[in-house]
Amino acid sequence: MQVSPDPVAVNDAVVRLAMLQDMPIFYAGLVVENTTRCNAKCAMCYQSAGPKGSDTWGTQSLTTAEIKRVIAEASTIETLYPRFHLSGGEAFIDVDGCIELFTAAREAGFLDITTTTNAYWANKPDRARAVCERLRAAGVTSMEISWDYWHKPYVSGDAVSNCLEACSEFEIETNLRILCTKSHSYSEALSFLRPEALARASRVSGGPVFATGRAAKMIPPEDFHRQNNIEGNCHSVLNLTVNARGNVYPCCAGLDQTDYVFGNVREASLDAIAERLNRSPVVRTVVFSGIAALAPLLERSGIDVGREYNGICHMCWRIFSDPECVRALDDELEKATQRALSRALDRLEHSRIETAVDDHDPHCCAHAEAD
Amino acid sequence: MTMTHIAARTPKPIDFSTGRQPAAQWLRSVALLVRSDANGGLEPSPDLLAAWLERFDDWYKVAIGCERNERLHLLYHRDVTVVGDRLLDHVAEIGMVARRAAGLGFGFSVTIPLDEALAAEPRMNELVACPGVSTLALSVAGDEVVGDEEALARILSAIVRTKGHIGFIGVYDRIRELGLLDYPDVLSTQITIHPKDGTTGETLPIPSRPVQPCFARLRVYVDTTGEIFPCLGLVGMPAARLGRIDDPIERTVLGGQPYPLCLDRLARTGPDLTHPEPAQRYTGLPWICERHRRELLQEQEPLLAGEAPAESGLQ
Repeated sequence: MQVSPDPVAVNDAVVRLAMLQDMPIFYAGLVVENTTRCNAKCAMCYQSAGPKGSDTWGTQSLTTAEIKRVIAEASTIETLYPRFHLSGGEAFIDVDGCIELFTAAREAGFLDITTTTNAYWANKPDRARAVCERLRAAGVTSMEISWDYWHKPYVSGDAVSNCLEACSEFEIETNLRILCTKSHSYSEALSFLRPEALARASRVSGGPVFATGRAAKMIPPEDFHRQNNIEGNCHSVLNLTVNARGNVYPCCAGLDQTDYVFGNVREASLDAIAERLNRSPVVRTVVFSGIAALAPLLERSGIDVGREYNGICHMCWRIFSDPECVRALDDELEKATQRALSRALDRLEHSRIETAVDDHDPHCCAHAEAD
Repeated sequence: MTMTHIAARTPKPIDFSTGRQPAAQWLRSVALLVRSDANGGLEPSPDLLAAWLERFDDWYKVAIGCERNERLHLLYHRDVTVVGDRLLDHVAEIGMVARRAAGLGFGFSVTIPLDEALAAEPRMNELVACPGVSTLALSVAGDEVVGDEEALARILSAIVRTKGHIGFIGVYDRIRELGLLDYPDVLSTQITIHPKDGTTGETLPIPSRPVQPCFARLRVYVDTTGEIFPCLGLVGMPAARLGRIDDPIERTVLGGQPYPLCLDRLARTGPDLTHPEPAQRYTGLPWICERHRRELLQEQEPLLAGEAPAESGLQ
C-alpha cells in the first residue's frame, strides 16, 4: 500500500531546503569584541575574560584603526542590519577609545549604536552621568549591562544602579542582562540593585547560564538548568562578530570563543569573509538546519556528542571547541563536497549524452558508446 | 536652533522601494490597537485586520523586491503586536489573526493583564495554545490580588512550556512581591521584563540631548478606528495618517499617496524640533515623540487647510 506523505511535513521540508540553498544569511548587527581583558573575572563568563585577558587566549585586542576599517567594510554588507555593537572583555576599560568607535560607526551610517558593559565605571553618580552624556553625544542608542550574582565580587550594585539612572537621564535605552543557575536566581541578582534604578531600565532580559567558557569549569554541572532543546536553528538571531583576535564568526553566543576560523580581518576584508560565510556549507547547515544536524555527520566518524545540552548555543560551542569534532566535520564535509561534485559531473555527462541523442549527433553517440 | 533638514514642505509620495536600505524596512512590523465594540465584538473587526495584514504583507514584499529574489533578509524580525483591554474576551478572533499573521511570517505577541488571566484561566489557556501566538507577556498593574497561587503557577507554566519564554510588564516591586520570577518554570527559562517606574509623566526626566533617530520606534500602528500611522507618537493625528485598513493599498500613503513627513529621514536622523529646549513632560512617550507630536499638533491646522506647515521634520 502506498502511503501519501504528510503535506505539512513536505511543506516544512521544502521551506527548509529552500532556506538552506537560497536564503542569504542575515545579521542583526556587527559585533566587535575589542579586547579579551576585563576588570572582573566572573565564574560564569563564557569568554573566560579577566584582568590578564582570556584564560584561553591571554591578552588579545584589536586596535582602534583596525576596528574603524572593519566598520567601514561592514557598512557595505547588504545583509547586515545597520547596528554596531561594541563589547569586550570589558570595552569600557578604554572609554575614550569606545567613544571614538561609536562616532566612527555613526559616521559610517550605522543607526543603532549599542554596547555591552558591566558598568564598573559608573561607581559614582557624577561619573556615570558624565560618561553617559558623552556616549549619547557619540550616538549610542542602547546599552546592555551585564549583571548577576557572579559579577558582584567585582562590580557594585550601586555602580549598575547609577548606570541605569544615568542612561535613563540621557535617553540611552538599557537592557539589563541577568543570568541564573539553580542556586542563583534572577530575583537574587535584582535584589542587589536600587529599586528606583531598576524601574528606570528599559528592559531586563534573563537566561540560564550555559556551560561554556569559564562556567564549564567553575560552576558545578548539577547547578545548570538543563533545557535539552537542541532542535532549533539560529538563522534569525545572528550577529556578524569579530573577536579580539580578529577572527570572524556568524554569532557572539559561544562560537566566537572557539578556535574554528572562518576568516580573520587582518588577512581579508570583512565583506569578503561575510561572503565566504554565506557560502560555507558548515555555516549554512548550522544556521538553517540547526546544530543538531551535525550530530549524524559526527556519528559517521564514530563521535557521539550526545543530546544533553543547555540549548543550541551550548551544543555549538561544545562541537566547535573540540579539535577532534572539527577534524571529523571537515573530513565529512570534504567527502560530501566530493560526492556532490561527482554527482553533478555524472548528471552533466548524462545530460550531454541525452542532448546529443536528441540532436542525433552520431559522433557524440559513438563517443558515449565507447565510454 | 538652526534647522538643517527642512526640505520641501508640500506633501509628496514616499519612495519605499529604492536603495540598499529601502524605506519600506521601517514599516516591517505592525501594532494593532484593538478594543471591544458596543456589541461585544472586536474593533477593528478581525476579518478586516486579517485581510489588511495580507494586503500589507503583499505590499511590503513587493516594496523590498522579494518577487525579484532581492533583499530577502528584510523579511526577518517582522512582528505583529496586539494591544488592548479585555483581549481574553476575543481569544478566537485574536487566534484567527495570529494564525494568518504567522502564515505570512510574522511573529505575534500579546500582553494580558495578570488579573484578567487569573479571572479567565480557561480562556488564557486557549490563548496560550494558539499556534500563531509566538510571545505572551503578563502586565502587572500593582493592585491585583492573587488569591489562587496554584492557578498562577499553572498559567506561568503553560506559557513557559508552550512558548519557551515569558515577558512581564509593570512595576518591578510588584513583580517581586508576587514572586513571579520565583515560580518553578520561570526560574529556569528566558525572561524579559519591561519595568515601569509607576510615576506620572510630570516626573519623567527631560534629556539634555533629545534628538534621536526614530528607526526603532517606527512600525505600522493600526488604531481602533482602522486608521494607520507610522509610530505611536503620531497615532490619532489626521495629518500623520497613512490611510485606513479598509482602503485599497493604492489609496494609502503606502501605495503612493502624498505624505507630509519624510519617514526615511525620521528613521535616520529623527525629527527637527522648533523648540528642543527642556519643557514640561506630559506623557510616558519618549520625550522626542512627545515633543514632535506637540509641535505637529500646533501646525496641524494650517496643514489641514493645505498651507505650508512650519518645521518639525515635515517634508
